[in-house]
Amino acid sequence: MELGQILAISGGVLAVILAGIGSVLGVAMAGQSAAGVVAEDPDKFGSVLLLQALPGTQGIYGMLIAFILMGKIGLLGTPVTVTTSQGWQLFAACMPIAIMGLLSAIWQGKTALAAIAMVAKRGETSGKGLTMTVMVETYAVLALLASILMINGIQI
Amino acid sequence: MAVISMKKVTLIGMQRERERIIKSIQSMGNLEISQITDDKAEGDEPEALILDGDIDTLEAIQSQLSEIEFTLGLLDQYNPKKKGMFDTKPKVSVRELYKALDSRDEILKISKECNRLDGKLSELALEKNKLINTIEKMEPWVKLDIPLDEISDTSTTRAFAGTANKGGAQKLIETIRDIEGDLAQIWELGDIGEDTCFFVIYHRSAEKEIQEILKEFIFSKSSFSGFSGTPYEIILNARKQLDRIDKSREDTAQRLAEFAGMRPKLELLYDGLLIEQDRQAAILNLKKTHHTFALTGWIPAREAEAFTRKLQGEFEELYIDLRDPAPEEEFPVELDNPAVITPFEMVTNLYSSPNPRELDPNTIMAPFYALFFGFMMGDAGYGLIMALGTYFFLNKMSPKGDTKKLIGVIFYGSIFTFIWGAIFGGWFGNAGELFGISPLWFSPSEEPIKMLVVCFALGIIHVFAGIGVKAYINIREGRILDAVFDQGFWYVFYTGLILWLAGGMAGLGSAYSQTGKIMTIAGAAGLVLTQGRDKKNIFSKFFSGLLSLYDVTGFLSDILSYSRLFALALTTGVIGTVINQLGAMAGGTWYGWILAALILIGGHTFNIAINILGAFVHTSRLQYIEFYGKFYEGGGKLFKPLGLKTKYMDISK
Repeated sequence: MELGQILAISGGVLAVILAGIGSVLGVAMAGQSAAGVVAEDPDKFGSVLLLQALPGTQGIYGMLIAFILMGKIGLLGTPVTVTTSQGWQLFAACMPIAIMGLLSAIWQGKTALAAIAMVAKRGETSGKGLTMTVMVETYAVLALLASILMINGIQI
Repeated sequence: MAVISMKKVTLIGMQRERERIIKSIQSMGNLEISQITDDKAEGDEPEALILDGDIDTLEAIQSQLSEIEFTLGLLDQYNPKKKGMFDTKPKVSVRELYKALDSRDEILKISKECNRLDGKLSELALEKNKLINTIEKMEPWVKLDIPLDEISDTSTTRAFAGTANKGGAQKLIETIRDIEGDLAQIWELGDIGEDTCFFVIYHRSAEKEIQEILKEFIFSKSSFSGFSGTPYEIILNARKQLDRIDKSREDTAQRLAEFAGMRPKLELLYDGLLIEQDRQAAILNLKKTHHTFALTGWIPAREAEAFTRKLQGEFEELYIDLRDPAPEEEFPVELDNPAVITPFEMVTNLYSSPNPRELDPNTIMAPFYALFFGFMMGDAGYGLIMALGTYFFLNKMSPKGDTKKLIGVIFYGSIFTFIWGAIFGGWFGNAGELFGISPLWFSPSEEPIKMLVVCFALGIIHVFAGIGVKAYINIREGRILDAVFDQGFWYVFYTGLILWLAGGMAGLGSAYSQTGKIMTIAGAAGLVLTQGRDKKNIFSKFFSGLLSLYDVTGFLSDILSYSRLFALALTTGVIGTVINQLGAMAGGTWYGWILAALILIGGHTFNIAINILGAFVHTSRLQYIEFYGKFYEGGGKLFKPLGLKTKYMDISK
């Protein structure tokens, strides 16, 4: 296997792992406090579950990039030769979602946690909590878009 | 499509008819009883109005409610109700609910009995634990065949049981046996964890020697106070009692389970009490004199006439006054929208309900919502499945309240999901492509930049609509100049900017960018001249006008925010494609195809679910931040009339 291919795959791997770690931490953080709220008031399960699920999307974005990359370098069909330079390019293109996914999921988890605490005190505020939490995700979406456009644009 | 106008009701009636009047109001279900705030009467009248109702009645009902709820929980635990997929709530009449209240003592007795049985079950569980502990404690000592309560010293000997570390056990035994003259005896019995159990007996003359040895081996005495008989007997006895307890527990649980037949009665009473609770809570807002009571509340204006007529027909000694809200008076908000728009009220209410004096934004928001939701889902196949699923759910399960609205939102969203899916060629991921269905317009993954431009264009339309609504509000309230300065100039400025930039980039020709440039400059000039018009001093007028141009960054970030449309649409498509690829990898043999079918069904269901969540929250955000940010105030209180609210039953009309 060429070095280029290895670099490209490493990029995809990092996108999955880092964004995934972020989501795991974020969802777990929110989930722990959500469980506490549900213990007090089981009727709030729906709204806190929604909040808990939000930091989970970054992991999916990471996986998405990995699959787009796999399609690009032909891992799913006939392999394509990737030069070292192209490998580095693809590796770099994976970084936005890898790093932003990691950080934004953790911080989104923290925001979700605060929003869950808010819903625990005042049930009618779940929509507002949702909006605050989604604000954090914007930057993961932008990173995802940047990664997609870059991978798409790199000539192989 | 508007906030319904309300009338304020003031009603004065006789104390002795109070219950009946409030019941009648409750069954009409269109009056929200409010606290009496107009306290003029208190100072003027010799007989001051005092608060009506009493908190004790309400608290008693609440404790009965929680008692029944607890019992129903118990019944679910010991005799779970089999639930069908399409169970609907049983229908009852109001009369039956009130009748249930008459037999409340009888039904509460059942509830008490169930709760007593549950108490007994926990007692038995406690006792069982104790016995298990006893058995565990006695097991190491089972070789000791002396009744524990008979272990005692005599005038010449001493006897006791105890433990010492296992490691030194052998040595300890030897040391004691080595004492001259057979003055002491030791038996090894069993092990407790790291320790070994011993029984020691010795002659008092060896006391000092023995004590030293025991100290050396860190021997600790065990005490068996409270036990009688040999350990073996104790264990045997405990086992017997355990059997008895298990049987008793079974019996009790069985008896509890048999009460499951009373569930409908309990649920009926629960709902009856719920209605009574609401009524008692409402009565707390009333005020009274010796013989009369006063009530104020809000009623939708169009129902006020019928309301008055009905009450005056039923009761003779009754005074009702209706008036419009005062100019600054807040009143509860009830929205009136056509059936297509109603579900979207939920989206707005999640953010903040409109306040009584503003435009109901739902009509203008709904089409954008469905459009963007569909764009983010963006898969024709998924759209079909969602439409069928939600349609089926709405018709078969007849959901109520916010659930109904949420499903409605997804239903309308699914129509656009289908349309956008067909436009961009998404059919179950790439399945459409594989079967040769080409997109009606273009494929986003092949022309991502074009797709991004489409998203920005949609965003510009949305944001412009938001500014337009603000302009409309200004004009409606007679602030025409504000509309021209604050919205009109921005329109000119933004449109010019877009033509200028886009014209240059897309190479549409210099005519576009030239027009754009002129519009931008004209708009900017207008803004600089007018945005500081609140300021007194000419310099601060100019500078705040100039600073206002900085808002253009807000506009840019608003528009860029619509790139999420593309990102989420792509997410759906790529995950769908991945699922198809996984399915294709699994296929080949007959069991492979079964596996493939499972992967496809499970995978696409997952993809739909996760993307509905994503589309819902991100579309909501676009409405809340980018759209409502331009004109919407919110902060209204929803209209919550006193009505017949139930949990387990549906009330038949």
